[in-house]
Amino acid sequence: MATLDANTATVRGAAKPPRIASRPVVRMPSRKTWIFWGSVAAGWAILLGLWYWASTQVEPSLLLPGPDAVAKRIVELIRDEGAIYNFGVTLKRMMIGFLIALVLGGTLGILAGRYRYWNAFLSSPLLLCGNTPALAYAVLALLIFGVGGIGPIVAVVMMIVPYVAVEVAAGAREVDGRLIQMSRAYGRNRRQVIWNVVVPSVMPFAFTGARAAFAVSWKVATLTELFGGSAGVGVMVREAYEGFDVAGVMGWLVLFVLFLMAFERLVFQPLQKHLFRWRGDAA
Amino acid sequence: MNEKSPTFERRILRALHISPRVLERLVEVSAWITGLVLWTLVTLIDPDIPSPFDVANFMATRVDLSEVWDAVVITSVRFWSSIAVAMVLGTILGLIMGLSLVGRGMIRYPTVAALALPSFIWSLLGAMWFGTGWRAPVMTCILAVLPFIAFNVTEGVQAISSDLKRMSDTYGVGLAKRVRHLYIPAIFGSLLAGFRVGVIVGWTAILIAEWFAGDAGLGFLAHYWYTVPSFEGFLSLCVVFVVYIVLIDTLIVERLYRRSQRWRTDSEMVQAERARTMAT
Repeated sequence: MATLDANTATVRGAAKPPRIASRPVVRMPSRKTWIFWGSVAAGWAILLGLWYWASTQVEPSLLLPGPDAVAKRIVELIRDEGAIYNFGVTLKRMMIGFLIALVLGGTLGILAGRYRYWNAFLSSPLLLCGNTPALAYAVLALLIFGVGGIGPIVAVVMMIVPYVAVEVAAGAREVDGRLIQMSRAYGRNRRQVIWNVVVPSVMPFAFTGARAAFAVSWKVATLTELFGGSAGVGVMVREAYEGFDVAGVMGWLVLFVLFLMAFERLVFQPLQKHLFRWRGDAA
Repeated sequence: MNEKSPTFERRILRALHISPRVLERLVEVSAWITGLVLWTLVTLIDPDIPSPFDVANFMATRVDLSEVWDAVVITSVRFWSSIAVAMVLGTILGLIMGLSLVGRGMIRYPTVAALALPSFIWSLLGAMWFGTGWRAPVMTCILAVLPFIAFNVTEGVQAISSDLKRMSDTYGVGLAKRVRHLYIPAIFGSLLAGFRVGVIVGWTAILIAEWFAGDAGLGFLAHYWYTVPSFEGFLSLCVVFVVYIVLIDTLIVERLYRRSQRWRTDSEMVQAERARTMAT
């Protein structure tokens, strides 16, 4: 997820020279910043305007409700139809699956990254599981576990484990070999080396993987609920779809985006700052 | 944790009289066997789940190969045309975002929002707007892939060396010429990285859209077997989904990507890899 941060002009993740000074410099917003945020506002205004105009052109208006109708529907969804409760249900299932997948994927990733034969053992299964479309996991989870809480959890685990494992394996391969040699020279055993050298070194990779995987696991959990479930966001979207409630589906679409962006801003960014505060360049 | 210490490894190598390379192959094969054994064990616990033999038997006897082939062709045509459209539009958006501050402000946040959307929402909207047919799958696939391409191209543009840009300023090189000789060659790698992600994302998107709104194609066929209902039929289709995308990824996308990156040094390669995974 090309990081969902609101840092004005730069897209993170591209090649970037290491920063040495870590003290933040307080600056007045420059002219460039004004132009940037001005065009952000203009961009949304144009988009909403086009949407509104299109909604007035399409007949019947049921087919393409305008931004005003969708906004009204969103209020209804939150107030009368338990949007927050359903987000909670899905979030709980998703988090369980996500955490299981992090632990499992992290372990497999370190094994694949550090040991030649584990890598040989895991590479084909990871390639296979990583390329299986979410549709297959969602439907299989429904067929095997029926409607209920377990299906989405299992689908998330299956989808996310290869994701995290591949990322962590890449990190584990890059661990500074000299650090490991030194640890060995000082008589540290294998377990100490893994816990004190390998695991901290792969943390940034694991974090990158987890952050990207979070959005994916949210999508998989809702998709599984869409096919069959008793409660949750996916079920609500399906009900709107089956009732031919275009405004409802679009309302869920907006809530979906707001939820993911809020999670990114309120959880991942502070967490990242906290976890990597020992690194000068807090990337 | 079953640790493979060097002595343990050497003991096995000596006992079997093989080289490490061959042992690696054997371990790879054992992974497949383990997978099949696990699957069979699961079917013993829950007899409703078809075993690998049931699925193989089903594929050999019940699946009409010409029907599956037709579905593969239909889905492929839709898939690759959508990818092509998404690549063109994504490159244009990416260039705008990479080159102009105003453009970046206007397009960046809608693109970020689009990245956060699951493709099934587009397919449901497509189904309601267009009914069944080719339109909803194509729309879903384009909208799912587009933001990934746009973001990768933006990154590529922004990573262009400022020396070359300043040189173009000094010599008064026009925008058209700059795009052609500086930007296009430089973004080619990141465009391919976006392509690689887009193929995976788009494949899932088009299958889901065909499931809900298709009149033909692989997703539609999977939905058909699901409603029959035939668990074996659905699993056979899953095998087709996975084989298709793995073949595309290893035979075409991976090779193209390596080729496009061959001028980079190893550390740049790692950087680019990380940028790619962040974009997913």
